[in-house]
Amino acid sequence: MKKLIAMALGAVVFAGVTATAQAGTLEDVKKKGFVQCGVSQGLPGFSNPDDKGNWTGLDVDFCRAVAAAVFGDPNKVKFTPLSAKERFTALRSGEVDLLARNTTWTMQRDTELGLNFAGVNYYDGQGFMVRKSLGVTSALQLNGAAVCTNTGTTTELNVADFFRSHKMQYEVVAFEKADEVVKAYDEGRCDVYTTDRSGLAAQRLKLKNPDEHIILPEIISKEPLGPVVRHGDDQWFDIVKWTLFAMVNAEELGVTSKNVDEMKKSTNPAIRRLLGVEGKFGENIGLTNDWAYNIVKMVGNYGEVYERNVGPKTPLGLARGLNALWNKGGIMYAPPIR
Amino acid sequence: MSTAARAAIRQAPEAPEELRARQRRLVLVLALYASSFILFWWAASAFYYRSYGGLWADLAGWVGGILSALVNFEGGFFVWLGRIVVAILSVAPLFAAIFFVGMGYRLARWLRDEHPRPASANPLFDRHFRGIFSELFVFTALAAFIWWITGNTVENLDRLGKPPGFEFLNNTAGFGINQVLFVDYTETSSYGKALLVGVLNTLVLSFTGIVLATIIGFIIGIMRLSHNWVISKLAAGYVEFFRNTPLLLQIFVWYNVVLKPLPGPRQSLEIGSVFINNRGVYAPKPIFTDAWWFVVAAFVIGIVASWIIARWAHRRQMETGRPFPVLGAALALVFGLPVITWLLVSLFAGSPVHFDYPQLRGFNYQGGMRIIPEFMAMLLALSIYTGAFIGEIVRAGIQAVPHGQTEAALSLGLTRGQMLRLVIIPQALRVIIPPLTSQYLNLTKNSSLAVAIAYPDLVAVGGIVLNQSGHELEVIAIWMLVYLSISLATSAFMNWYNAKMKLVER
Amino acid sequence: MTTETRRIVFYRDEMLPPKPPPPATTGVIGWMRRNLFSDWWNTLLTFIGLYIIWLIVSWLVDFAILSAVFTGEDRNACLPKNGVEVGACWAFVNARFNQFMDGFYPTDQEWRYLLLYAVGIVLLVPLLIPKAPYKGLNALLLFGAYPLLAYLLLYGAPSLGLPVVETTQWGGLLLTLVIASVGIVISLPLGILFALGRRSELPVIRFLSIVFIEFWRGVPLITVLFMSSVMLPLFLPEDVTLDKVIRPLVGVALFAAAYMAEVVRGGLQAIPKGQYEAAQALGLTYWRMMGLIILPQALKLVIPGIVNTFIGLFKDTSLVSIIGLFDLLGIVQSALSDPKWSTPTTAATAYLFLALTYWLFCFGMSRYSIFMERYLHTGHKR
Ligand SMILES: N[C@@H](CCC(=O)N[C@@H](CS)C(=O)NCC(=O)O)C(=O)O
Repeated sequence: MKKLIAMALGAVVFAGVTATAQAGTLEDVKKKGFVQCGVSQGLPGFSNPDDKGNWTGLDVDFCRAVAAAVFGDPNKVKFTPLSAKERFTALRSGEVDLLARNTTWTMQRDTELGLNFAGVNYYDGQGFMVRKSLGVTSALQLNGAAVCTNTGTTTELNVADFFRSHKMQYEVVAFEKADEVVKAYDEGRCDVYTTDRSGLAAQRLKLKNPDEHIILPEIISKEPLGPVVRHGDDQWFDIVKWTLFAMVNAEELGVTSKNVDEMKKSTNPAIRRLLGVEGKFGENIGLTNDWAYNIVKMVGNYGEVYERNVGPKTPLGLARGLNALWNKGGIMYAPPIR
Repeated sequence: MSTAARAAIRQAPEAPEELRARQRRLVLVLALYASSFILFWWAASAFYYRSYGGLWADLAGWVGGILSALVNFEGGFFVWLGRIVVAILSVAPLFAAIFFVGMGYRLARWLRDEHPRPASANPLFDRHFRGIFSELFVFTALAAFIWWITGNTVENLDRLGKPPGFEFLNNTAGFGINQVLFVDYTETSSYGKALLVGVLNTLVLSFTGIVLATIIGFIIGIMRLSHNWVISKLAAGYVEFFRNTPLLLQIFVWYNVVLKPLPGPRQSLEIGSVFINNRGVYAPKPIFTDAWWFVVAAFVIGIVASWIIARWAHRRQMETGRPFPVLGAALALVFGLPVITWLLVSLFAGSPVHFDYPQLRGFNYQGGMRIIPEFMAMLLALSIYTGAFIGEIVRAGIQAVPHGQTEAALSLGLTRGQMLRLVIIPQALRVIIPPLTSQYLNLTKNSSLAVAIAYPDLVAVGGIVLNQSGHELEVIAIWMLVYLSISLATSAFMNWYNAKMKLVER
Repeated sequence: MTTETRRIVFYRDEMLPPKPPPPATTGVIGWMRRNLFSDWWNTLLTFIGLYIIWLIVSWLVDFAILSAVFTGEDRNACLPKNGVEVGACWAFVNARFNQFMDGFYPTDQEWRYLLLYAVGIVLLVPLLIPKAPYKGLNALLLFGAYPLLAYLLLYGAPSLGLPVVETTQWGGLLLTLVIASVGIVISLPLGILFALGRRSELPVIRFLSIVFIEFWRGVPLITVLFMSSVMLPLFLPEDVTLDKVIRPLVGVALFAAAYMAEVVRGGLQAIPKGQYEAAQALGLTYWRMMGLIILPQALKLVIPGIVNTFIGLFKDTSLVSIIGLFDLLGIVQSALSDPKWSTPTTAATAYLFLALTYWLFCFGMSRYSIFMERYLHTGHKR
């Protein structure tokens, strides 16, 4: 009844705009034929467009993995660059279906803001970058410094906590666009640039002379970064969540984009379930049973994606560290598919 | 229709066709009125159903909340304000009812209208009738539209599990702000306090901007009228250049090209004890002892005394025609008195003011007064941009005073100064002030561009609050409310001023 | 002796030929004496003024031309040479020029907006020339057919063989022009409606119009843009999503409509009451009276005002860069963060380029507005 009247009213007022019954995100996505994915406005290694507008990065690959799971085609995805400030509004209002934008999982975001975090695709922590010429070696020497950062981030809050709890003075200069922050720091408006350490490694590539800057050893916060969806659509939440788990499980099981076809013949029941040879796990979340096969085949497992985008061989050069699998000294751990 | 027929109608108002026409009108009016009302009711109830469990269900609780809030003022200004807004919303149906009763009354009056109407007259072609119904229609459509929007919003917010309300303003902000004036704000203060800091920063920026823009504008306007060709063309170039490029671009230029390349703190430019570097301008900060109050008191006394003298001088001039050099006396009083007091106090109680000098400690200068570069960039951009517009206004204002006035004033034997002060400027001001006020308003609104370069004004701080708390609706409402109040206050001033000027005009 | 002298009388039987004025009051020298060197104060001002002009011009010429770098592959071309800073780094603007013009519009589709510009100019210019014929048809084409053509060409229509170009790929000057022109095309009719509403005799309609106009005029555009990008999605049903470019357009159009309404109202007020009375005496209905008698006169009167509103709108479109669109200012600003081109003068060069571009458009329009003002002014005098 409620719906009906709403529709009638909608029709009366706006003859053109009709409010159809609420469809699930998966149906919507299938109908339009692509996943709309919210990413950063340009953070090398995570989500970064080249001159021609082609996106690459860890977060970007995650979006592609979701597209591969849904459509069997990693290119059926469109990217919406979002500033830290815009991202949640864009997700909540339905402008994007999924947000993969180095976003920290916090309680307030998970609950009050009406979002659901689908897991963690990068375990990070906040750090500081300074000019080498300042001769600073520890964050505890930063009393009185001017600090550049992004508005609308956990960074902005952590830095306040850090300086307050160490009874140090500071001046915060908070810009909305990440590029403005980098520029302001590079041109000397601030002594310190603070953000997630992965972000520091990435943004450093945008400085005039990256070698003149160092990242201080202190890690002042926990920043579990992960993909986010909105409240109220469990099916879509499941798909996104298990896309991530499938990538991690694949690495754990040794399934890579190169050997995935052979692995289909494997006798290991865990691999057989992952690749859809056994069971109907894909169908149960509204996809086809080869969903995880498509992810691994077309995008790769978590380890491959990591190495390709941020690993030691890339300009970012980030060691696996916390992001190694749980059985390799890290904390990357995915529930089993069964 | 012939005159005879018209006369016949007038004589026989109860002719059967007239009676039928009247009945027809009545039915038409009732039908249209009822259908409009039903449409309205439909929209209202649709809204009711859609927001069931949302806004509507909370209304009763909110109305109760207002009463308690009025008695027990706990939660900061905006929380209170939010409740009032909600209260107004909740009596919206009452307004609608009043509207419909009023319309009914107007229709009834129209029906009873004594003007004879020809039986064949179609009410649909009656001006008044059409007027009333177009109003009914517009109102209903608007109400339906608003309800549709509100319903959508409530539904969307509901789905996200975010009840609207201003209570979040009491939560801890947790972020730092790099320019805090007049109030004490720390990271542990509330969102409401942070917004207050933003409002104050907006006001400070606008106020200084207005002062500077006025000075620049008058200089440019007068240069523009100069008989000196070079000077007037220079001013024209200034106006044409700054008026025709976007303000945002000018802000970026000041910030990124002029201020950022200044040397770092350790290589600061030094002018006396003023230091300029890419972190801002640092100057000694005066610290006043209690004895300073004597100086302040002397200043106030000076102002009061000058005012009294001005009145006395005016009366004497009216009566005897003898002028008195009011300006000189006033200047002497207003500035001389405090200076003498200052000297006396210094002599007997030591200097009433000493200075805190900025010093380079660690990374930056500490102590003293500081103007952050973001403020400088905004101030320069705003006042130079607005100065170009004010220059044109001043020029037009002075040119609007007919040349005859100058000649008449000079032929009366007024000196040039007297002529300017008594004849030209008062008349020019009447032309200048209305557009000048709207330029002031524009400057204030344009100060919101500060968000582009991280000057913490209302919009920038509001943006942070919006984002950290997730309460978009409320923060945007606060933005709109603050700027609207400033605008409305300014228009109120304008109306008052225009009315006053009219009286003078005779 | 004395008597004799008295007797001699001289008189002229013809006028003296007029003497040329003192050489120092006419011609270039006279003009200069009157306007530049009339007294010592004036002379001083002249020299100060000339000095300031010299400073600006010499800096500009040196920066933009003499020591500028015109070609180069990356920032190395524009870095200080032997410790001497170079001037403008035009090589940067050159390298990014395409992007500044159209954002990420596919290169092989560029002809589409170029064609659109061409058609636009062909339609616009005759409309702007007061004496050109076929004004009605011309306006109909420009305001009716042209937007349709613009949509087809810019966005694309696969059925016509024009591949779709998503609005996310639009940018640069193209986007600036799109936003400004759509803003004006929507705000003009809306503004007329609200101006009529504000002058209506019907109290409710008048009240609502006043509220609408004063609301939009009372708030800064940037808050309007935030509102349209953040709140519009909340206002609409859940599954209706508006394009990222359309949302600010709605805000800009409503905002401009309020200013337009005040401009049009000025025109309506300037029409003598007799015109209204005459129209009513003829038995015209309200809309006929407005459409046939009042508005044609009022709108003609306020053409300068409309152009000025458009200039304001054109400059104000730069604000959309704050909400993350890549209009001309936005795309230049973002190109500045490319480390490949970071040199001490890149920013100054880019801003100079921007200032010149905006200035050309705005100054051109303001000249036109002044021209129309003069033209209409004489037209009104008998
Ligand atoms: N993890 C932080 C986000 C930090 C963040 O946004 N960092 C900036 C600087 S590394 C960034 O990603 N900027 C890229 C952009 O804005 O496009 C959070 O969730 O609040």
